[in-house]
Amino acid sequence: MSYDNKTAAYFGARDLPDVIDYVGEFGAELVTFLPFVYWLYRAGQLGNRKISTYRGMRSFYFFLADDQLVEKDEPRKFVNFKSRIGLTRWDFLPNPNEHIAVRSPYEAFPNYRKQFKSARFMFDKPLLVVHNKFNREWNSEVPINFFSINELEQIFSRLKAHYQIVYVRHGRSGTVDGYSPDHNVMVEFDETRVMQRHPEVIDLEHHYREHGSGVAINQYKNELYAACYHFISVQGGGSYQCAVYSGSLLLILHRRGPETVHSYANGFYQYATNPAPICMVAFNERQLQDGLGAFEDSSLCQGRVMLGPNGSRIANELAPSRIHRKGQPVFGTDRPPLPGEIGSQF
Amino acid sequence: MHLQIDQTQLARLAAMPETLKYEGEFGAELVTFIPFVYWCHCIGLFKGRKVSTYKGMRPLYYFLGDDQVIERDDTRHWVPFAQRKSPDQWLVLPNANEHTSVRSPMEYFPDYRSAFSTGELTFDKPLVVIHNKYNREWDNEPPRNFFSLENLDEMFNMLKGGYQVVYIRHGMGGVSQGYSLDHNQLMDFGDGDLLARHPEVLSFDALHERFKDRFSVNAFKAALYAKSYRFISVQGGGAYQCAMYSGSGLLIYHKEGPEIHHSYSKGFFTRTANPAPLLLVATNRAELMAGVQAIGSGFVFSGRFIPGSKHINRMKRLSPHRFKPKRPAKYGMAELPVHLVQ
Repeated sequence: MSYDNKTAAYFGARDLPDVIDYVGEFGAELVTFLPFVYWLYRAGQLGNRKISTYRGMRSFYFFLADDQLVEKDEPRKFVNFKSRIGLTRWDFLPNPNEHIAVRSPYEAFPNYRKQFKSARFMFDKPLLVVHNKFNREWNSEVPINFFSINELEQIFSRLKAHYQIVYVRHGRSGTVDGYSPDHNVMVEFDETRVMQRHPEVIDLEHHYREHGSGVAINQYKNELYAACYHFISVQGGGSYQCAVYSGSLLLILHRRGPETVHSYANGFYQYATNPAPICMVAFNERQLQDGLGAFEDSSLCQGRVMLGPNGSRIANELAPSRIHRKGQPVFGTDRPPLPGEIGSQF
Repeated sequence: MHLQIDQTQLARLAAMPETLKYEGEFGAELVTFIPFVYWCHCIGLFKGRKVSTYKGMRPLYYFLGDDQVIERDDTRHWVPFAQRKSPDQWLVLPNANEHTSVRSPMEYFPDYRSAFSTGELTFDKPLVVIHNKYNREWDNEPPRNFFSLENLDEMFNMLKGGYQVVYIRHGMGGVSQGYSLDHNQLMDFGDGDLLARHPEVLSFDALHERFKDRFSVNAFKAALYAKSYRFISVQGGGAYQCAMYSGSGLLIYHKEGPEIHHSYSKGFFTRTANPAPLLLVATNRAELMAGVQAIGSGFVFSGRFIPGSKHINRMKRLSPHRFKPKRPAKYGMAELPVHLVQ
């Protein structure tokens, strides 16, 4: 599709299907598909079309009427980047590949912090969300990006005096209820003991079972995130979600993944919300420990995290702009965009 | 708060004239007209089209070709909000009134910090830009929003030890030949003598004189601003321009003006750049000097100004969110979306 035809498609909405269907993982949906749908909605181009997505996503599409959203009750699946070309459902997205996505005039990110503001998560201390996962990734037989028990112990023991920590690992209780999970195969992981040693730490799934009656899990989670300005996450879609909450401090433990090529320093982590989060990337346990220091020198002012001198020094050392990684490009990142590039050409 | 586009607006977009003309003041052009033109450019709608603007504005439309920018040698004039109704000029803009503007899917702010970054300007110390004005305002009233000579003297003394202060007041050296002025009548002000007593402080005009072979006034100002993360400005269009530089600390001395209703806390000041400027608004001398201390503290990291930790509470006290104005709506503010005037 040529550039001009594509523009015409948006404004005449000629080529968009009656049901715009999303197929893929959660994180990519948040940072590529959803901002396009929201732009269509606000630009008056969605019309009577429907959005088809996965179960549990209702709250993210808060701007749509009930009859405009179809929730599919099926597992998500990863779609190979080479398959995201041609006249398919991907072609009309301004950014079909999240790993080389650039700021686009056809995208608008909803203000989730404002949308999900609630009084549900009020504590004496500021909130800190720790987001973990433990599943097989890519072609590996074993999990790669995860907080080990030892790392969780370090995070909890060091920061629980400063923060009300909420621990999130979807599927921890063994069941996934209320949403379609990504395609990854869960692997057994038992953080029971570390949670018992730190009873001050709240487990999100447990808290939801106790207090979340009548509320969808993603609505509950979004309200939690909207009340939180401090996030520590492992690489992946969970950290993408943290990055859409404005003004935050976000520490990511990244052992492997394509986000280092572009997304952290110049991609959606820098434009999905305003102010963009202060992002720190740790590649190993030592850097993770260093990063925790920034959380000890942080305060909140005008809806954004302010770091003190030590916190800023640490954030500078762990800034994504320091990353100059070489190696075989994967996941469609062989031609990363230039810093500051605008998605004006398709 | 978001603006949603309706079919009427889309029809206006389709009927947009070949030459889109801007009439009005400098600040409003920056925050309502340019983001619309930039968005049109990014999606290809500006192919074969031109803007007609005022003399000196070429650099701020850097993304357009030379043959797409017409510069008129006219004096700018303020256009009352009630008159901003022509369908091919004002109503094609998603936000025709800067004071009630909300985030629009048809606006896109250019990244001026990236666009104007240059290695040609270097200073030994970090920059602080102080932007002043001294002219009749609104209904030909005497100057209201300005830094007095006493304010300036105090600020220079506080900042010049640790920073390279650059002082800007357009028209200070007489009427500039490089750009069209706003309609406001300039008045004599003794800041030239004050600068002579603070030789460490650079006058913008004198600094530009050194670079005028390579930069027009507005290109030089844009490049200078791209170097700075600390801005102190009086209320008005000069402050709007400071707000377009990402990650800055911006202190505004606001005696009077409609921006406290909406623009500072919910309007364009929150979306002209990312990260949006950290905004402090001072309404009297004591607040101004507290703000200067905060701006003069801290450091810059990863492209954002971080105030010294001792000043966080001061930043909170000077937050624009503290205003609850109850004055009658002016400047078209009766058109604010209902929930915003509650």
